[in-house]
Amino acid sequence: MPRLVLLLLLVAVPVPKAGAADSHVVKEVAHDLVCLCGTCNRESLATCLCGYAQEQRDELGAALDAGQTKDRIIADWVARFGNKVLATPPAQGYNLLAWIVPFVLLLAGVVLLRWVLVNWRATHAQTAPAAHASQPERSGAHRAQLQRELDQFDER
Amino acid sequence: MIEIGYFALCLSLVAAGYAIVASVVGAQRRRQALVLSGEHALLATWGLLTVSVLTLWQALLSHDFQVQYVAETSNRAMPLLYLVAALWGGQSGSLLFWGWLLAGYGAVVVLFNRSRYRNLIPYVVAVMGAGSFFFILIHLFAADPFQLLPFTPADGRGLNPLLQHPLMAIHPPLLYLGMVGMAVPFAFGMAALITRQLDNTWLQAARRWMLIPWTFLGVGLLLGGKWAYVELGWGGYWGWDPVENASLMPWLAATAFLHSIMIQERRGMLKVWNMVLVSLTYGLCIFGTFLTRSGIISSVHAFARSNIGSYFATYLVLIVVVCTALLVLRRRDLQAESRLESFVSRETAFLLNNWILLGILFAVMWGTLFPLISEFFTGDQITVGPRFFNQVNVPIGLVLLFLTGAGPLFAWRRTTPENLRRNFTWPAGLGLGAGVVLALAGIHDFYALISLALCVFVAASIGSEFHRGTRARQRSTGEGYPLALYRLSSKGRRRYGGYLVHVAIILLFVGFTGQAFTTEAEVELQAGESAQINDYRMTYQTLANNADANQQTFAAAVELEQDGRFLATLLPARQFYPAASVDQEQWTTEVAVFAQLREDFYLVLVGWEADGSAKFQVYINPLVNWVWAGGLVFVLGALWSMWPTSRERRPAPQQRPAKPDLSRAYA
Repeated sequence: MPRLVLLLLLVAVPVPKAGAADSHVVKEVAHDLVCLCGTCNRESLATCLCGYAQEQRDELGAALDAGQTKDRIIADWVARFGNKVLATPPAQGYNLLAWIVPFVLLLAGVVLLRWVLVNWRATHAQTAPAAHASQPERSGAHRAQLQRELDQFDER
Repeated sequence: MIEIGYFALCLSLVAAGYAIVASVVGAQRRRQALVLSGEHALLATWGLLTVSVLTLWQALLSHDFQVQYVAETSNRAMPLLYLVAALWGGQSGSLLFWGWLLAGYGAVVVLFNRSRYRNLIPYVVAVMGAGSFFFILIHLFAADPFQLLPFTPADGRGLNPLLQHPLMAIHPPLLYLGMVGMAVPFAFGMAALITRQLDNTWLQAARRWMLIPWTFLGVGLLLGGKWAYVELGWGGYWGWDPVENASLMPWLAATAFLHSIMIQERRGMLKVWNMVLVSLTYGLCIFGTFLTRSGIISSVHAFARSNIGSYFATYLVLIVVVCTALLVLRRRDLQAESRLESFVSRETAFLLNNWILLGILFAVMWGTLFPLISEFFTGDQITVGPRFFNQVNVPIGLVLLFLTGAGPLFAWRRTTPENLRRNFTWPAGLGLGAGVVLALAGIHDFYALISLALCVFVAASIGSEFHRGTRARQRSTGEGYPLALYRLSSKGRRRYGGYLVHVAIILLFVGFTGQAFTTEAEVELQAGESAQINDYRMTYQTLANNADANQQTFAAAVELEQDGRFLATLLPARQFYPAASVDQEQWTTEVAVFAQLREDFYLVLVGWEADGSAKFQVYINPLVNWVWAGGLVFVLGALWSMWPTSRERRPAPQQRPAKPDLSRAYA
């Protein structure tokens, strides 16, 4: 037993004392920030388990206790660490592109799709008969029967 | 001993090179013997790489620490399972494993498909051989797994502690089986382009060969999620990490391919597009590997930085150039055989499906690359975290969910208004009804409400498809309902297996939606103290410790009650790995989860003090189990869909006189 206590003392992970701020509120702010300790690969500050993240959460708690607003705290953090401390790119200036481009591409996709569909109906209306002509083995009766069967299949 | 592995590697390069040359020359000059020797050379490549892999395994198991890879990824204290898994635990070993699987796929294709796809096989062998050739070049010149150290260390550094988890022994092989296997449909596509045999034959092969790795990749992704959930301790299963994204992107492209080939099979349209998709899928596998192996993007999976990036970049450029050139050369052979009869048709629905899947794909790619792009142009470092991906992809994902339900309700070629009304009335009504009920029941999160209502809509639409099919069968055969349902599903395996996969998608979306209602808390307790979180009461009892040569485990015993009823004693733990803690202390987390169908109680031990107090992170994650259930149904659906029908088990179609191809007969 004394050995166990000694071992625990040796490797105890320091747990800084929590402030008065509610852990929910601290987490809400921390979710907008990431851990920049260098080894945690920018995990959310709200969930990161490293000692650095815990100290930062305590700092956030202290700032909230001091009556600072969330926006103010976030602005402070950006001033201290740069934009990379934010969990998502700030939606302004150049970084607005991050948010806009996916939806612009989707819209471009709609335009392209419309063009393809309209083309498919128009252009191939003329080329389709030519394709038929190159396949003489399909007699009219054969085609009619096929058509009937396929219609039945589609109806199902 | 280790020299044998290196020697086999050198020989495999020769074998792969010969496979390419012999197959191509043999096919060009119609020399069957040469083609056959090319096939055998690909088999030999696989055999030689097997020798290499076995040698490396032997070195790992026998603790041959003079081999640099063995010294870096294993140590004497590691249990057998992780010594085996160490093969894919580091850069050069995992690449060797990758190359071996690739050659293995090539060998299986040769053995099973050489008579069925006689004309395509030489070029399939050439393309698979080229892939192997490229990987063996990397093994030999950029990431040699058999590199020796100038001295023999007494012990190794050990496998990254995060990877010492049973799921890690199985998740990477599945993921690799997925990513690597997508080379096969690509090879069939290229072979079809080269030989100008662009009828449905290659599609048939490509579909089967896409389904297999697609299933592996899907399961691999989900198991990776499961690993992250229980091992990383941040309360979730999908973090939009670059490596996760790198394997999600080919899966999305493959999903698009599996849908759009149906248009080509039935209507002879989209021929160019399907070639683009199959190449895109393969290209994304290589691109993803490039992204995560070259060290240009940091990630939890970070492999050591190395110069293999230039190899992958070169190979990628080569793929793009060759595919583009072939597509341009063969453009006349790839013209559509029929025209679109109506905008309101299954064809349009499939195109919309492709549009939205690629939309998600490019959103993911954009988010993954944006930090690089931004830093390149502005010099400003920014973070694109999970929240970004969620915010961008949730609305797009909901459109996908809607299409999952709506697509099958459209008929091929043309859907009449009354057909549409008949098919949509019930599912749409049920979906809307569910939305109203859920809103009244107190769910006010906009996306969650839409998502759950859509899940009901999709479920109803799939249910009505099964029901209408079964009723129709009953009318014509007089069978009982269960028998008719079974016969229907096994006659149309592709169709109904596909619907089963759609059911899996519903379950997954229900699980994803649960994330909107997560409860989080951080609590610090003295021994014997309790905390109340929602209707759970957790009582911290004591901290226990256990050690073996490899690791020291610290576990907190926490009693969990719900509404006064005892549920379980949870043991969230943290593990310390002395051997791996040379540069910095290596800790891992062992999360304790009490799972119920409704929600998970997820408990993480954060730290403890000498006075006996402990700090915990608590997450109450609703509906997470639906995700894992979805994974199970996904596998069932995929297996159902790819299981050969009795018709497909008959001898190869090419050896019989040509029959008119019914699937394209509308033309």
